[in-house]
Amino acid sequence: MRECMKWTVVAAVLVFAAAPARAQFELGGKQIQVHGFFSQGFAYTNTNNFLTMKTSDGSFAFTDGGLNVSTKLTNKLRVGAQAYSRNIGHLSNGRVELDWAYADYRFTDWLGVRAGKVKSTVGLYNDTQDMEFLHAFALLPQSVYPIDLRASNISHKGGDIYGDIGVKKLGTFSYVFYGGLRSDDPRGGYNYGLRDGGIPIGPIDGYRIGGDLRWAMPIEGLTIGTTLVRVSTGVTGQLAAAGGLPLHINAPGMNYQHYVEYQRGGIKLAGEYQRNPSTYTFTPAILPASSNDSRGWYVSGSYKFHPRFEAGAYHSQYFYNWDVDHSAAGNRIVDTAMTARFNLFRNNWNVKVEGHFMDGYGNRSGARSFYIGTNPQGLTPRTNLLILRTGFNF
Amino acid sequence: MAAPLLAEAVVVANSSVGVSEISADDLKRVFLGAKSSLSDGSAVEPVLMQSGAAHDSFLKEYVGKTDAALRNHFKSLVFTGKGSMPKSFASDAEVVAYVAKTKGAIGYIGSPAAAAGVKRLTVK
Repeated sequence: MRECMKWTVVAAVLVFAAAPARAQFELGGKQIQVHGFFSQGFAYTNTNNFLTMKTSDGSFAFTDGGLNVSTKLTNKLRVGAQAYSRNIGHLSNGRVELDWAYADYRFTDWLGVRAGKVKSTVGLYNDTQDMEFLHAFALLPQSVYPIDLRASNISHKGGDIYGDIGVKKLGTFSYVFYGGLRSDDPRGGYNYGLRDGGIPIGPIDGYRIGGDLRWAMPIEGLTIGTTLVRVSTGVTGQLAAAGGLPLHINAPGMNYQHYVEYQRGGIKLAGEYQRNPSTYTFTPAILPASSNDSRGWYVSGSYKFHPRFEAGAYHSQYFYNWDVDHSAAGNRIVDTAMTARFNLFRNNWNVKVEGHFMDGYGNRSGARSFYIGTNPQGLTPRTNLLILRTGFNF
Repeated sequence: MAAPLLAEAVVVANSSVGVSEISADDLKRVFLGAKSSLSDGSAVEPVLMQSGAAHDSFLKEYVGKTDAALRNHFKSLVFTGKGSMPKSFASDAEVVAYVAKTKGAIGYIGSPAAAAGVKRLTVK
């Protein structure tokens, strides 16, 4: 806890010192922008341990931060990079990674290209899920944005083609088509969960090819959209039950995500639906090929009563396998959450108090939210969770 | 007669901007970072005010976002690498000084009298 408090104070000093400088300076005739963020959380549960944290005792192992630098080389060409690090229970363990780094050339408003390691556009908040300061909630709905499985969706090493097309009286249509190799976190949720399930795995590889189309409608503040992504995933593990026999898992799948957001004045409403059908084949074929259709959705609302105070709530549902009994605790995670957010010091610092009431724990042999390794005593159907989280940005 | 609650903003631009009027749709898209050039090919750069009646009036009338929502919008671009944070200034004089010296800059001020050295754009 002392370590967490030390880093929280360091981050606060950096933010308060950097904010007046507006985080930019000139170098070689170019304006260089530097921005960063840091968050520290505390999580407590009354029953099951959550997200590999020892939340039943209260856990401060809920820290992340990032730092980026960018510049415009010409009117049309921007370059930049961001480093990111997090520690969530047993996940990531403070590993510093290259979050994104790419060159972005905008030919026209309706056509631009990016190349490098690029944040993937999926739904409303995939590419901003790490930026807690952009959201009312301390924890985004895990049915659609599982923090423990972040690496599977967060970015791709490849490129984007994108653009914005304004149509008079009809609003603006924005598109992005992308492709590239998927990211991996050797200390992510899949690695942790499969290892606990008796299959320690090596690096996860594969590709992502997809696109997003959204419409900022003529109704002020209303946006609808859809994302389709084809994902291929391959990993080699060792089947502990078979004496460490090497086992290759091939898991191609799709991600369908549809969404709507309305934001006007102090009110923000959002809803998303996600479907992930996948197939699994094993080499050698000592396990039968199988398929799975995971689905999740949520609706959320928040209202900013005052520039310094915002309250919100969401209801989220996740089903590990849509084709199996929805009432089984081992097949679902239903979460009702309420939050209060307080904005301090020029909106560069916020504090959130959030409660979650969860029913179900998902697939115990899978990797999501509740893990066997941190719940050796078994899982109970219901979990209440309290999160306190503070964040800084500049 | 009651005083207006919000001062009407005056849109100003660097002399390099080739148009004298701009549509409300284009103005909104410039200030959301979705449009970087105008119909005549001029590259444009939005310039914000930090606060004040003219700032609130401009955002309400032309951008459709509150100050906090607009800053969050640009932060979402900055922290995903998909855009840059626009410059912002505390006074009409600072906005005018920057717009006057910066090719493609478009900003807004509260007082037409302060618009010396920059061109005024009509919003249609």
